[in-house]
Amino acid sequence: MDRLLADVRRALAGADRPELPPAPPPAAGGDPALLAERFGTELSRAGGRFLVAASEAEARAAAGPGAPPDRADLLIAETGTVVRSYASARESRVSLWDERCVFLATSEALVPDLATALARLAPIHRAGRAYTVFVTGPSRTADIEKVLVIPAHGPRELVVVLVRAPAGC
Amino acid sequence: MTDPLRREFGSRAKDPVLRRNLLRATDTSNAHRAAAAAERADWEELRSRGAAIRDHTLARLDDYLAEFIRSVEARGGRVHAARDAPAARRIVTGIARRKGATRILKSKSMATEEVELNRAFERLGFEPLETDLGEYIVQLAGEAPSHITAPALHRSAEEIRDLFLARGVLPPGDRPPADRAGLARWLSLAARRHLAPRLREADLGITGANFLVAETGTVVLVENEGNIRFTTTTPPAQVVLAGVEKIVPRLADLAVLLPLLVRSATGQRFPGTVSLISGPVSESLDIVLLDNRRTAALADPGDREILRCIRCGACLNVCPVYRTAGGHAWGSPYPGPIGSLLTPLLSTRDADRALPHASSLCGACSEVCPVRIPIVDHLLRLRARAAAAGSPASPGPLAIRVFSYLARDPRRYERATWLLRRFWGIALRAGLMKRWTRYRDAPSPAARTFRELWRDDGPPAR
Repeated sequence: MDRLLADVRRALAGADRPELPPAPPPAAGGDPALLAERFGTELSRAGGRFLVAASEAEARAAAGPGAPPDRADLLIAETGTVVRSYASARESRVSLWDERCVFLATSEALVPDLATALARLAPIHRAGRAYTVFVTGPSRTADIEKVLVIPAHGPRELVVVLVRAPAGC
Repeated sequence: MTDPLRREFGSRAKDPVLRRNLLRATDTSNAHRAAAAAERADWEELRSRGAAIRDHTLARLDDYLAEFIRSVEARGGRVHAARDAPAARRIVTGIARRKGATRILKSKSMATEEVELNRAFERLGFEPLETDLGEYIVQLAGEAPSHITAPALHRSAEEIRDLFLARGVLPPGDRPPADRAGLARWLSLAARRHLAPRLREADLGITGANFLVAETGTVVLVENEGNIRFTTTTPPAQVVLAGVEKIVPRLADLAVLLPLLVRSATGQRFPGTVSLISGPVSESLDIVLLDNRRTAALADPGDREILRCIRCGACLNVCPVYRTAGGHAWGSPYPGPIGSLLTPLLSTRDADRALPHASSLCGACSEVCPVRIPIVDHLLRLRARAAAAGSPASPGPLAIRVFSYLARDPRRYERATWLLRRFWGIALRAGLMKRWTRYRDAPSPAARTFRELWRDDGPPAR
């Protein structure tokens, strides 16, 4: 390892060292209703289903039978992406191993874009071990003649239920 | 082009099935990429930001590598340095042996192709399962991937159907639909069913990395199929093999690099799944950082610029040479325009230094590169470098020397042009010019030279 670092240091001795450009600023908050609408549009475009429920009980009913739903940490409106951080890889199987994957979220989870989502995740990943997945629609492949096929190896169906009232109330 | 190169590219260019498969796939990819780039009003600015992030990181790679290693170790992961391909194979197979691993899942990774990791495992008696569908297809066929992001792009659905029937992925007597889209769907779902049990029980998972984040020690993995999530969550032990140039400084930089990568690679707004793995999230995490001549490339500012590459594959899809001959012609895990640059940097084979000649210099690659690598400029630079090193032999310099000898003396020149006109037709008919005329016209010289016209007819009338 020391040898690798020494080799790199030697290779770069005397190199021009351009500055790192500032990170793009995260977008401003935005109206949750608009963010939810955008999220729903993008999620359906990616092949997922977006539902709104008044309570967690209603959300569970709407999500339908099957494995218990998972909770989404963030919803990225710009791309219809669900973000979820797990404590371990094993724990993450809940959103991978079944045919159907359901996430519940509250409107606090909505963020406008990827930059904002990354800014929210940074403290978790700076603090120590972390495993975060960004999921956009059900699993897919286009490896045979570029024909889009759903599902690939992961879930066949992705449902996101936005719970209007805060969860647990 | 040198002769071995001409054979590799020429023979493939004559395969009509390959040609059709390549055009179909790359036309689709090009249309998707163009639409995805046009959709973002800030695309050109995003490209500049991406290039700036990569340049900054590469110029300070010593600091960022040290930071990355500290971050991974602080989280309980192990980091190894692999000086070259044999070292990388030794480290990874050594980890597998210590873990007693026999059921190994692997996701698509160019670094593992570069070091020929699977062959090392096969010598030890087990075969890692390629979990990406395209990679699984080429593994079944005993082939190398022919594209950076779409490994089986050179195969038609019909060819894959025959392969799946022969290898038992489709049960004997299975009657898949005949239409192309229906067949592609049928085959993809058959592979899903066939692999499902093996994805849910394994001892070791091997992945590459799309990016390595210095500040958090994070391995970033981009995919659509979900196979990488299985590879990183089913087995207790995880190994990552990645080139040292994959480092980026901060998580925030992904807001620039991920959209650039995915819009260029598949034309999607966002990938199906992105995993951020900081530290061991199962039982163990071993990250193997591959040098394999990358540090030597860092020392040269021009070569360093080539290391900006984020492996999206867009330059392959637009390249007329790639679209004609396909990726296997390069004989390298990195084909296409960027492969003609990366391969001579990373390989020690003499023949690979001729690869920058496998280009018409049309410039389509430079135009699409999401991190603005001036690919054509570097193709010319590496051609000059190969010529200066005396390899490969090129007829160019000799022809120029002969011409300069003849052109220096008017009488000598006149005699040469007389001979040329006299014997041109005979030479053509005798087939002496076949290597030229196979692909190009050989226009006949004018009946009378300029000097004869001047002498006999006088100056042209005003």
